[in-house]
Amino acid sequence: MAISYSSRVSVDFRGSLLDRAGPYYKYFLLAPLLITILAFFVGPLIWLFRVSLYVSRGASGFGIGGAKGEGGGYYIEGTWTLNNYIRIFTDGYFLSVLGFTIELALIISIVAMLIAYPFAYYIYKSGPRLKAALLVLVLLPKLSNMLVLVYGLEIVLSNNGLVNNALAALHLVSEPVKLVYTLFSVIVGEVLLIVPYTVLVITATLHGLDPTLREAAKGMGASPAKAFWLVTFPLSLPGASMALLITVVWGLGAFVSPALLGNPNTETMALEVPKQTFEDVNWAMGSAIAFAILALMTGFVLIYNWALSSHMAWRS
Amino acid sequence: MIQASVSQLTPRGKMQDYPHSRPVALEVCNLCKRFGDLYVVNHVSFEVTEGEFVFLIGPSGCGKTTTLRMIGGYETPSSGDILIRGRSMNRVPLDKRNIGMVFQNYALFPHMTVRRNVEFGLRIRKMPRAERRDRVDATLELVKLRDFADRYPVQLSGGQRQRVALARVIAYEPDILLLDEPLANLDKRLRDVMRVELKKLQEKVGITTLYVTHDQEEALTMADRIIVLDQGNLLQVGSPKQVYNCPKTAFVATFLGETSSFRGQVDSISSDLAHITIEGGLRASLLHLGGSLTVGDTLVASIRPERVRLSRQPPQQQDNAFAGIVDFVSYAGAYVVYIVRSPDRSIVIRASEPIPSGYPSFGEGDKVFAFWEPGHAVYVRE
Repeated sequence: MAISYSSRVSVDFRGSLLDRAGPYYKYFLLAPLLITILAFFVGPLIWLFRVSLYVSRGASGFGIGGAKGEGGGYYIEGTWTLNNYIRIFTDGYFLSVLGFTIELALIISIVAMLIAYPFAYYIYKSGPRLKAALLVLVLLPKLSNMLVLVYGLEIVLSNNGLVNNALAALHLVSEPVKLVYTLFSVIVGEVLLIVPYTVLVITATLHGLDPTLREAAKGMGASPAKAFWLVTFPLSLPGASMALLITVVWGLGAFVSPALLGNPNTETMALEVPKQTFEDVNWAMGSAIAFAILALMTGFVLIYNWALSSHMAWRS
Repeated sequence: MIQASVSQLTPRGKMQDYPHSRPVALEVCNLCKRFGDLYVVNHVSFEVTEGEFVFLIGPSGCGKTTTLRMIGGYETPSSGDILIRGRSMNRVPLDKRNIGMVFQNYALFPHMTVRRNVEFGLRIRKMPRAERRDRVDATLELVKLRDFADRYPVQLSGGQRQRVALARVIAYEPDILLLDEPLANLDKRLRDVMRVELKKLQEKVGITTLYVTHDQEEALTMADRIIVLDQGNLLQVGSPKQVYNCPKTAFVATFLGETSSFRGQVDSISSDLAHITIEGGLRASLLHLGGSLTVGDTLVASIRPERVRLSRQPPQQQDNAFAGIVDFVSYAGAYVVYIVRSPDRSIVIRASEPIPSGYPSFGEGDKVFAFWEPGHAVYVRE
């Protein structure tokens, strides 16, 4: 029996769901993510903002499911007030937490940048195999859970941990140095969490630079060091400042490291949110603090972008 | 002050016709660049005298850019010597060579204004501020960019960027100017304009210049001397007229302009002409300079299209002429190119002529006689 195959093998996509949707098909592609974001992020965020504007009832006990009209024990329903926000920016305690949060964000950012830039530059200058190895090294911490990482750090920095044992073995200290639950450990933890991103952003920036610019600089007599400071470094600043932006925003929301490696003096705004919400059972205040952090980040990004764009006229 | 700087930039005397009376600025001896067994640059040697404008030309991959980059210090030679003003450059890093390199993409520093770009080499050389400012002004004046000093490269057109790239290196008066296809990124019209400006500027400043291009027209119009490279080998060095009129190899003949070539055998040799018979019976006389030909040699004869004349009447001469048919007419406005073949198709020749009347004299299929002056054809090695 002869079997004949059709010489024309064609798949007709016309009439499929996507095609019938006409020019609007792209919205079908967007829909799953869009719906998820709207339903689980934007929606709750709006509700949270509303909560931050309620008059709180203070720490009135665990009145979950309290009588109608009593705001479930958390806040008084139907009220509108800005007092929660005013409190954040007038109350001495909140102001000190706010101040520390900003301070911590700046320290983390500076430390992360100082570590990341030389490292990224080294990656940029190394051969393809070393480059790949170093990039894997950078990304390795990101493959493990954030909590695991910070708990690991807690052990390493503890009185009987790796660092203290090493110091003792070298006879540099006679008794353990208190490393964990200090500002130091908080900074180390947060830097460890953010630095891979910083390195990646700066590395990408350096690789995006036109290599002939360095060649041109050297050809005109610039030593390798001069070529770096006069050409490579200034041209890497837009990318580096983007990395700085990421670290500052990250630092303003610092939570894990202060929570696990900190002490009462390293309280951050982000830690205040669950504290207010669950310990003091003051949802309104917790929400207000969350929005204060968000406003802080947004404000920083806007000011930063404005400052940058006015200093980089050459880019347009 | 500005006046003084300009005169510093223009020291050149009119010695163009006697290049060897001037000192040697650059000497390249047996330069090689090898990757395994592959020679990208294969034992290349040449000299460039002070103030000379020399072109390195050849198709892509011929090793011209690699040669230039080795001279500039951007690449390390596998073997051979590079001497700039008598000093060996083998152990001198590029930032110590005092060379001016203009890149194909200009490589202007985007974060610096035109002034800062032009100042760059002067700052590195720690020139005092006032002197530096005057030098930058004079250099910008030279490239007609005085009004653009405070602009950033993104705010300039392609031609302006090209001029900044040039000004940036001539400002610090390098020993040698190296240009790597500097006009390749410009459109045709601008390229023609810049060609003239660049040539004028080079003469005015009197800077020794080595220019890499694959554009034969650029080389012919601008060069004092042309060096032709192919597959890493140096094929010929000479003035544009020498290289164009007396190409040594078939490659040089075809790379620099159009040519028709045919294989033939030497019949007899007179004082400066060699008489050959070409397949198909055509007899031709070739200029033979140096006299390395002997009777019986087979060779390739090459003739430029503009040397070939066409007529409907048989010419007086017997040699250097054949009867043919116009196979193809290519109208190019100012001139026309005919492709003429013999009836048995054994000879195909290109003839081009200016058409002041505006209309070509011959059409496709016309019976014509093609002929040329004895000695207008040359022989080339294959």
